[in-house]
Amino acid sequence: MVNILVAMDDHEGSTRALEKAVEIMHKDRDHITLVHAIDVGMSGLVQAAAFVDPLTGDLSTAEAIDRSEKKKAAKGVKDKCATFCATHSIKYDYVEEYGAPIEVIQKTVERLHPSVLVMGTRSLNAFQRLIIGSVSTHFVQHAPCAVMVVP
Amino acid sequence: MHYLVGVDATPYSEKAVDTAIKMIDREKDSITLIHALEPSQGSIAKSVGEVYSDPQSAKKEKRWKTERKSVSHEVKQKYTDLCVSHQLSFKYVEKKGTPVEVISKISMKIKPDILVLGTRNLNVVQRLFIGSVSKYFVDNPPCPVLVVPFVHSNL
Repeated sequence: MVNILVAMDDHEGSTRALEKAVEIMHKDRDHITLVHAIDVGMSGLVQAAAFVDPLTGDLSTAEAIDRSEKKKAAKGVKDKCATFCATHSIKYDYVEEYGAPIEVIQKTVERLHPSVLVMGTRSLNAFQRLIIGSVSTHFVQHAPCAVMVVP
Repeated sequence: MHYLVGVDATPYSEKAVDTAIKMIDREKDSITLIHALEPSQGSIAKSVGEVYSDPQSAKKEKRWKTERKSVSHEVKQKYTDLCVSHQLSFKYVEKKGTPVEVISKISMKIKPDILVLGTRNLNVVQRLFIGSVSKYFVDNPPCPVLVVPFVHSNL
């Protein structure tokens, strides 16, 4: 039996990754788990910076708005996965955790020992990749399992 | 589904082929194995117009070429036997060039559904100078790319 772990986020790339993972799996034999990292790091706060109180510099409103946005997005991803797997009659496990994508995926890989880790790409250009870094490249170099990158 | 698997003479690609064979659906899928025959120093020199001045390098060149031929024959034998024993619908292709060039060209030609590669397990410094075939294809994927590590694989 092959254990497939698919990393999901709210970009279109991970939908393609999920489609491909479903294509390669032998439905009666293999097991699929979806993992979604809810990233409440600085990037989200920067976007919500408009809600920082100009007098006191209070971030709490910004954080609250960011967190609720993130929660909404996370639910969107979960529902999208549910719909997709229902359409293809696939049983799956869903793991949702707060944290940076790389850390969450790393911890899940260590816990579940999948045979294949499937991820999409974020379509970053070369410069962005240099600065932001690539989650998929990180796992290709460091994962203890086979990694499938779906463009 | 059409699988394209990059092979070479190392045990790293055996892992990649084994993985592809485990995943493949015997009735519906097909597999193409591609072996890049890397150019020798001599042929690179020749291609830019240099000519051998001493007989020693010409002899070395000839020896390298014969060696490479026998190695590539062994590799071809090994993988064709493996595919036949698993009753797979397969094709074995050998092409001259660097792995990146050869695999890029053949993916453009046959448009596989998945490209399967092993890793050469290079360390950081080696990767800086030699470059990584698998990293290239993860950063510039012509199609979904499955990278199979040599150690720790559960497949």
